[in-house]
Amino acid sequence: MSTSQMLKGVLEGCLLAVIGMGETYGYEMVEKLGDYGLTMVSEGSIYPVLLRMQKEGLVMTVMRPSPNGPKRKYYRLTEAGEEELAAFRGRWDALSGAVDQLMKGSDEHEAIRKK
Amino acid sequence: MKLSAKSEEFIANLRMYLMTSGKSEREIDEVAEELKDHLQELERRGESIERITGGSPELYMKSLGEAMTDDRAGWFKYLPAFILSFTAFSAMGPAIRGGFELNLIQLIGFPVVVLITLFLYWVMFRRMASGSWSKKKLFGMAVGLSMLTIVMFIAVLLVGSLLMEPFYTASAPGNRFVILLSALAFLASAIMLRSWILILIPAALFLPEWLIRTAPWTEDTKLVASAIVPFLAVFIVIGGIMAVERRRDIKRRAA
Repeated sequence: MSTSQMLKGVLEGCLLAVIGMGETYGYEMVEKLGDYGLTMVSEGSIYPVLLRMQKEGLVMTVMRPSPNGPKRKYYRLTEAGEEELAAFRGRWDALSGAVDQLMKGSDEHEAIRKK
Repeated sequence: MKLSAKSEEFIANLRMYLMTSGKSEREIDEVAEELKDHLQELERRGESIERITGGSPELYMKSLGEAMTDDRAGWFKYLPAFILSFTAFSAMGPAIRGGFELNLIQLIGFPVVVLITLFLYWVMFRRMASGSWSKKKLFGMAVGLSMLTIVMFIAVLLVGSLLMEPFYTASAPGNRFVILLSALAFLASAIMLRSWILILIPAALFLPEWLIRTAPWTEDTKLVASAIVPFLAVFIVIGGIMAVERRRDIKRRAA
């Protein structure tokens, strides 16, 4: 499975977290994801996800002029977005904890087998 | 900062793809502005458009389209204006020449030809937008399609006038009434589309013809003049519209 396929399911949660840190726009979200090491995100792939999130009422948007010309679309979490972020955090903690445990177990099993 | 030609082309193609997919106009505008902003940042950093499209513009446009709201009804609101102006275009010329008539085959045939043409152009624009055809193939298709359109129109015209007598032939006041109705139809469509083009182009095409008809010239001079002047006038109007648009665009960028 490629990294982009693995990312697909969690990108929405990551974007919710980034937007949750304060009002932001598309390009800045990519930069922030990169700051946390998520440099493998294909930059364009955030926009279909953002459109879906907007349709589901998780974010609200406002268009404002940017310093370099075109209008810029700024995103903010709605109440439903805050709730979804909390729910994602819970699911992610459970999933990542379990996968971590499994990987650790598999490593130990491998080490014993090699001996 | 100005976008590179490649990025501008991508945005134009994306708009066309989403429009021909019947997506909401407001969402198309928003996503186009958003991507323009992102592309400017990328270009400032010296990176290419592939960071956005992931290498396949076609797949990327599709993924955006799937996440967007369908608004076919929103696009159908242009249909009445289109039908009105098309009818006015085909009625005004003969009426000015004093020979407006209605023929059953043409009355049915023309709308059918228009529907076929619209469908074929829709297919072509979609292919053009997704970039799945080479420039050469696209050019060939565009030329072929415009020839096919002309051939279909002439065929309906010929078959209609050869096989059937018109069921209505306008008298002189009848022709004047058709001219008035057509002018009103252009006005109505221009208001519906909030665009001057549907007044300027018919005016450029038909006003000279009407003036030439009433001028005190010989028939030969009138014939030559009415073959040249309307096309020149349309050419000038289109050139003028493009110049105004470009100036507006430059002003918008400077602001």
